Formats: sequence, structure tokens, C-alpha cells
Amino acid sequence: MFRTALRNVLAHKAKLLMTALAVTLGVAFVAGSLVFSSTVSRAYSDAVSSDLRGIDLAVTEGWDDGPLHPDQRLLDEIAALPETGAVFGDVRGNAALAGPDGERVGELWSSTAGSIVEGDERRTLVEGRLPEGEDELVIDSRTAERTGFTTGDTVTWSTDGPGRTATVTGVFETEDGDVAAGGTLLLFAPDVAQEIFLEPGQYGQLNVTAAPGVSQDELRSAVEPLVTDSLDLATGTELVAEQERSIASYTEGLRTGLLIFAGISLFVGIFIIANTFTMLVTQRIRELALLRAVGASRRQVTRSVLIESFVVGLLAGATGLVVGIGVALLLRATIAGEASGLPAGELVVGLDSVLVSLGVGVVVTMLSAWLPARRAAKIPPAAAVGAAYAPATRRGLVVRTTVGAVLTVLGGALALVRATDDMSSNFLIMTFGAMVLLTGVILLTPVLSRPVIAAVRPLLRPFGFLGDLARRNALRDSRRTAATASALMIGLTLITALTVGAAGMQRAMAEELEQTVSADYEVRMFSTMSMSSDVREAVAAAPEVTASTGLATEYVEFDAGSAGDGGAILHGVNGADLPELMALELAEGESARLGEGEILLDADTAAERGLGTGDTVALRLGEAEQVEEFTVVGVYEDHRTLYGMVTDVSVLERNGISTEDRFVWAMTEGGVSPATTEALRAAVGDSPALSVLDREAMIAEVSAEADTALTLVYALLGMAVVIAVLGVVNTLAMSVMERRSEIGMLRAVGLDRSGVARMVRLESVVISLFGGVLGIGLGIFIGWAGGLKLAEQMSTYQLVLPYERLGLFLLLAAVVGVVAALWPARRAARTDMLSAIHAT
Amino acid sequence: MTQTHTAPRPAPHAVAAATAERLTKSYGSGETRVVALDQVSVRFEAGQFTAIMGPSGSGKSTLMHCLAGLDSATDGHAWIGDTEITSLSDKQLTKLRRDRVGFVFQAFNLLPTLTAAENITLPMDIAGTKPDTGWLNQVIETVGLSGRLKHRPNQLSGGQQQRVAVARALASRPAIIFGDEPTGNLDSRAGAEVLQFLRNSVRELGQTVVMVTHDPMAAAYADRVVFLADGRIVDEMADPTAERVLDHMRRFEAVGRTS
Repeated sequence: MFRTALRNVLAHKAKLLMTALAVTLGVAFVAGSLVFSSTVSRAYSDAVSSDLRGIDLAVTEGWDDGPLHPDQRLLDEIAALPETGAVFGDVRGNAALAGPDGERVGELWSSTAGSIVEGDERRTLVEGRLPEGEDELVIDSRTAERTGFTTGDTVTWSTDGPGRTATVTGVFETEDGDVAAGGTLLLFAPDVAQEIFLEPGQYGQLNVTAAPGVSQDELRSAVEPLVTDSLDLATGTELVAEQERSIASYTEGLRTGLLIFAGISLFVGIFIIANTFTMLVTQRIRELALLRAVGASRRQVTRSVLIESFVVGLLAGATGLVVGIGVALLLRATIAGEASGLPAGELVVGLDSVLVSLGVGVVVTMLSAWLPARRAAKIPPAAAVGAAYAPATRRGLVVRTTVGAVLTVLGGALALVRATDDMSSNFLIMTFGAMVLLTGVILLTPVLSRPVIAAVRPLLRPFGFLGDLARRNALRDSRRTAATASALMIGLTLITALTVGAAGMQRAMAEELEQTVSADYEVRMFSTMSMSSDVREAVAAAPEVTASTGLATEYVEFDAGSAGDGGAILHGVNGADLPELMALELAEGESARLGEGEILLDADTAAERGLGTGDTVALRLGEAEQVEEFTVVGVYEDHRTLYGMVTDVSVLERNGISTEDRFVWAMTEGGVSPATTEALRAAVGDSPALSVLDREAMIAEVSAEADTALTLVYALLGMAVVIAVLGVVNTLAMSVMERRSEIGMLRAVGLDRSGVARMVRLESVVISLFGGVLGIGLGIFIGWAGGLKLAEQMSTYQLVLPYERLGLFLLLAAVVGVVAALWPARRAARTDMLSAIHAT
Repeated sequence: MTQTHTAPRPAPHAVAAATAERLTKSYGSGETRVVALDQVSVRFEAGQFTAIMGPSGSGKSTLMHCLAGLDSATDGHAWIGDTEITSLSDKQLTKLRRDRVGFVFQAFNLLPTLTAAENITLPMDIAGTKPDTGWLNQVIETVGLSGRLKHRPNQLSGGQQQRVAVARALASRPAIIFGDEPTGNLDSRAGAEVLQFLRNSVRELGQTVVMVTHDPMAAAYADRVVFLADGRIVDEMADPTAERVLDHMRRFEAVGRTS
């Protein structure tokens, strides 16, 4: 049986080509994801472990009712131990550097700063000298290369506040992880770094090297008595292990994300494989029946088809593995490095990646061939001697349609139902419903093919008789057409659903921003980081600014008896200017302007605590838990950024609460203009860590993140579409092969070559549009259903149908049809008339 | 392709429905050269039913293919009416087949997706021309398909399918109809029916039919039989009967064996 199967694979090379290609691409995606994520993981580990190479023991910051740091005294004590070789104090934090163009170099999260002292092995000065005063720093060599800064240049840098200037006194080399990931590292003298990030005399971490002949554990035992319990001790080995764990969990996420999309591609591939094996079995009815007639058991027939699929899966899997490694190599070259913040390194092809890729190829192929294989076994031996044998498709279709209809209704209902009050479990139910719905529609596609394709008939009218022939040809084998169209549908459903969802989200967020913020300008840092209070002071001081506020946030507790237990968010703003900057919709009260001892509540908090205008609220503030009383002067409808309670920031300040702002908003003289934008930038010292956004930019920022995510998703789902194209090619090639004598007859009675090609092309477009229409329709439904869930959370959410983009998707489906038909149409046009007519 | 694209030559004699002059078709070259047609010259008069007969490999199918514009000759000339087809391009040949030639093949070459009526008008639909309704009705009447026009090929018997093919060949009023073993796949009764229609179309509708067959019974329906052997025309017979044709063929075979 094995030999028969092997011979079959060889005999049907051409017919199996597209199948093998589909498996290859799917496996390549899997292999690429696995290899790429191991490569990134290894690169991170290498970077980190080389950075930790010289450290035998680290004393790191701890927590004892507040952050606790190792200090100079501890450093000196450790230095005096006989077991100690050397000890360096490290200070570390985020700081951005402005490039020559004034823009930040690299991503904010990998823009870092620290301290440097003589003799630190991890940072080797290759140029200039160590920094000394507060306006001196050294930069890493990669940053120097990127920016062109050298010793003696003056640069602008910033942590979380206005820009500051410093002179570059030197350049160092390092294998620091953040630098390897495309970030920057600015190093200052220890006292300067302490001033910036901590308190004088404090360190973030003490790095100790052991004296010759002293082990890490011996060093640890020697240091331990000197260190209070609240600080953490870790040996070098532990540090490396710790880092690797966190890297693993990060790359795990990356890998899972990629594998989800690889899974979608493989799922799409299943349709193509099943189509091909169904055709091969149908073509070989006689042959298989003969096997049965000469004594092969059903099981043996099934096995022969399965072995065939095993061979195809293994070959395609192996090819996919090679292609996948190539893809990972390409990914590493294009993505890794400066742009994305992933470090570059040696390609890692683990045995597990190899085995998983091959396994996936074989399992997916065999699974897809399983149904056709079982059908093969049902062929009666009598079929060998020409007894009419038609596989029972009608009854099968009835069962399939019934199950499909049930799943479609069930899935649709699940997607729409509001089962719980919990947003995320509702979303999960919706996603599950969408998957059930998609499965249901896939099962229904053979039945849907007739009405849907009838619906595209007007589009075919310009092509006259050939359009009509193409449409009928597409309907001939409804299962095959359905499977082909389903493959395309899956990708387009997901793409459309996400596009519709994102469009609604973007509009809702823009709308919400429009409705809730009335300021001309917003100054902010990257995502959720907070800015030092210097920023709001600098903005307020700018002559162009007429009103401004920061937004500090603190969780505070209610004083017993005042308004129940627990606490709530308290925002600190500039109470005097609040109404000019924020559009607060007051449910109670006269004005959102806050004076001394006054507080605003959002509607939720007010309802929950049973509070209203005129009531008094007592809050415990700061480390001293000082109780202060406030009068409620208003209740506002729930707001996108102001949750809980709002009061003047001076209250927080006088209770010793740090008042870092997530946003600073400003109204300006004459409103938004390029000159004003420039003036505000200058007011914050051209800080590379801060963004100054005018209204338009605020809204654009809201959309930009969703756009970036959407683009990435498009790229990842692109593979599913490419595999679907292969499916269309495959189906057409099969059809052209099967209808050879028909095509010969058409040529004989007067259809020219270009007519034959056009007929095949039109059939291809019909099938692709069928998939496209279903996919886009289903995608809109799922996007809408998802939107309903969002609308519960965002009052501004409305269904937005981005017609242009949806039209583009439909056009894409048509283009898929044309492209997929290129080769089959050429083949059909080249059909040799005479041999085709005589081949029966 | 060794087809010669020389200037079209006028037909040598008074115009026949189809004419071949020193038509040669060979495959390969040198030692392995096989001559399928060896300088065959033959005329098929309009309004006649001609059968081409000969043993397998005699070149009878090749002659028909070359005359019908399905295949190109290596040398010599062929005309459909006064059009020299040996000088036409593939595109022109396609158009010629569509507009002036009808075909009936051995296998039921109908499109399974089309109804009987649609199959009949297929060449005209391809050309984008309107069928002559009066003529079409007459043809359908003649082949006796009136009640089955809405049926698809798989709902028709083999004989009915072949009658649809005959109607298709007649529908566009071609200058000539070529049949390639049109009864080869039919039982004798259905075959007789189809042959009867072909003969009726010649007698009653004035068609010209050239049919390749190896069946003496089929040949007996023709007005004239042309015998081929080894790529040459070796004999012909007017007003054949099955017995005479059979007799003739036996003689050939005997000659073939002794020579």
C-alpha cells in the first residue's frame, strides 16, 4: 500500500502542487514564527547576560512601606569586605535624547539613563572622558553613530520634564539590552544620576564582584548581614535566570500572537487540501474500486489515501520549514534592530521548532485528507467494472446544510446576546459566537453559492455569453466552489470585522475627545507615563497660554463615616481654569470651577456614595493620612479621563503627594497655530520626552495607534489571503483539467483562445467575488456585533462602515480572481483541440 | 507548425463545398518521419453526403481535421468553399469554424451546464449573432427534439444527445458539416436515427456532410464513399450499400496483406 501511495504522489505531482504549496506556506508561517521568536529570545538573553557578566552579586531596591534603596554607606561597607573584588552603584531610569533634528532618538521605553564610574566593565569608554557636573554626560556608541554626536557636542535630553542641555564628554561601548534593542543610554556622574532619579547618596542597585577565589554564594553570605531585610539580594546566576524568565514570557506573547495568525493560514489551507484529495479520489474511482476488487480492504484503501497525504504533508512541511527559516531571516533583517526595538542576533533553529513544523504539516494535511479518504473506502468494487457509481452527495448536503444553518443561527445569537454584565466575558462570548457563525456559514456555502452567484449576475452581463458560461461553470461543483470561496472568505471576514470595529472605535474615540476636552493643546509623554510637575508649571508660565492644567491622579481613602468605606480616584487639576479646558457635563451644580476646599464628583461615584451638591466629603490624604474636608460643588456625567473625584492640585501638594501629570492641557491666545505650537515646545525646553499636540494631532494620535495595529493585522492576515489565492488557482486548474474535452469542443465550434481564457478568468472572478461578498458581509456583521458590546462602554460608539475600504476589499477579491486565473486560463487557452476532443 | 502563409490561392475548379489539393500531413522528420496524408487531392460537392472510410491509421481522421480547420497541413492546399484555409491564422480558422463549419464528434460533446436549446445555439452565442428562428425551428423539428429543449444533457439518452449535436451543427447553416465517427458511441438503433437525420439534412435541407466512419452500415447512408489507405485515396464508390462497402474493404485488406 505504501508503494501504491508513493506512486500516486509522483503520478499526481502537478495536481498536488497547489496543495503542497498551501501546506508549505502555512508551515512556513509556523516555522517562521517559532524560529523568529526563539531568535529574538536568544538575542535578548545574550544581550542581558553579557551585560550581567561581571556581576557576582546584586543588591537591589526593596519595599518597606515605600521604596527603599541601597545607599552610599552600604556600598562603602561592602567595598570594605575582604570577599569583595569591586562594587559599583548603579542608578537607572528613563531619559530621552533629542537627535540633531530635535526629535527623540528611538522609542521612549528603551530611552534610558544611568550612572558611570571608573572601572565598570560593562561600559567601556572609547572616546573622551567620564562626565562630572550636572551638565555633562556620555552616550553609547550606537547612539553616537546614529545621531552623529561626538565628544564636545551639546545635546538636549529630558527625563519626564522640560528639556535640559548637556555636553557630551565621551562615548562608551556597551552590550546593554536596551541599547541592543535600538534604545539610547545616557550616563551621568553618580551624584548627578542620583539627583535625577533618586535622592543623593542612593542607588538603584549595587553590583558586586567577588574577590579572586570567592564564590558567588560565599560573597552572598558575607554581604547578607550588612543588608537590611527589606533590600533584595541576588547572585549573578539568579539575576540571569530572572532576566531570562521575563524575556521568555515576553517572547512567549510574541510567539503566541504570531502562531494565532499562522493557525488561521493553516485553517484556510485545509480547504485546499480537502478539495484536492476529493478530486483525486473522484478521478481514481475506477482505480480504487479495482484495488477493492482484487482484495484490498476498505481500511487499506483509506490508508493508501492517508499515506499519500502523509507524504505530501511531510514534503510540504519540510519545504515550509526551510521557507520559514528564510522568512525568519528576512524578518530579523527588516524588523529587528533600531526601528522596532527588537535586538538582532544569531538565528536560532531549535529542534522543537523543526519537529513542530513538520508535525503541523503532516497532521494538517492528513486531517484534511481524512474525509476524502473515507469516501474512497466507500467506493464499491463494482465501480471497477464500469457499474455506474455516483457518490451520494445530495443527502450529505442536506445534513451539512442543516448543521450549518443551526450553527449560523446559534453563532449569530451568541454574537449578539448580552449574557453577563462583565465586558470582557461578553466579548469572549461574542468572539466564540463569531467563530461558530463562521463555521456555520462555511457549512452553508454550497447552498449559498447559487443565490449569491445569481446576485453577481448583473456584473457579468457585460461579458455576455462567456460570463454566463463562467457563472454556470462556477456552480457546477458547488462543494468545490464553496470550499474555494470559504478559504478566501475566512481571511476577508476577519479583515473586514477588524476594519469595521476599528473604524467605529476610532470615530468614537475622536468623538469622545472632541466632546470631553476643549483645550487647544495637550502635552503628554508616551502612553501612560507621567510628567514632572515642572511641565505644567512651564506651560502655565508661557506667555501664549491663557488657561492650563495638569492632571495628577491619586487613589485616596474616605475618612470613616464620611461616605462609606474604601476609596476612589482623586484628580488634582488647576481648579481655576478647569471649565475652559475640559468639557464637563454637569448633572448638578453651577460651574466646574473649583476653589479652595471644593470638589467635583463623577455621576458614578456620587450615586455609589449617595452624595450630591452641598454635601461634605472627608478624605485621608498623604502619608500622614491628614483628613481634609471638601464641599461637593457639582456632579458631572462620566468622563473619558476624569474618573472619581476632581479637586485643586494644591490640596495634593500640601499633603506631600507627588503630583505628576499624565496630561497637561492648555488654552492659548489666538488658538492653534504653528507659531504657538513652536512657542509651547520652547516653553518645555524642546524636551525630547514630551509631545506637544494641537487638537488635530490629539485626534490623530487616537487613530494612529489603531491604524498601526490594523496595518500589522492586515499584514499577518495577508498570508491567509495568499493561501486562498492558491486555492482558487488549484480549483481552476482542476476544473480546466477535467473539462478538457469540453474546452476542445468549444474551440472546435468557434471559441478562440482568448475566449477560452476569458471564460476561465470570469469563473475565477465569480468564485472569488462569492468568497469576497460572503466574507465582507460576515465581517460587517461581526464588526457590528462587536460594536454593540463596545457601545455599552463608550456612549459615542456608532457603527461606521468605511465604504472606501470595504469597496477596496471587494476589488481585492476580484483582483484575486484575475490573478489566480493567470496560469489556469493560459493552460486552458493552450488546450490542444484534437487530443482534447478525442480524450473521453 | 509548417503551415504556409502564402497568398490565398483561388479554388482550382468550379467551387466545391470543400477541396483538398495535394494535401500532405507528416509528423517528425528524417528517419522517424511518419506521413499521415500523402498528397491527397479530393473534392466534396455541395449538397452531397460523403463518407470517408479506411482502416485505422489510414489518415481518414487527419484528412477530415485538416479540411475542417482543426489541424494544419504540412503541405498542399485546402479550401472551404472558395476560402483557402491552409493560409489562415489560428484566429481566422476559429472564425471560419464558427461561421461556416459544423461539427458532430464521436463523444457527446455537449456542455453539461447548458440546456439542449442552449447547446444548439452555442456557436451563434459564441459569435454573438442571432439565430434564424425559422430555420432553427425547422432543424429542431427535423431532429425531433421539440419536447426536450429544456433538458440538460445528463437528462437525455446518448442518441438524443447526439441529435442535439447534429442540430447544433445544422443551426448556423454552415457551408459544410464534418462528422467524426458520429455514431461510434451509440447503439445501432440510435446510430441509425442520427444517420437518418444527417441524410435528411442533405436531402431536405440541402446541407453538405462529410463523415469519417469505419462502419460500413454508417457509410451506406452516404451518397459517396472515399476510401483511404496509408494516407492516400485508393478508391471511391457512388451510392454505396453496406454489402458493397464491406466487400470493398475486405478486398483492401487482402491486397494490403499480400502486398
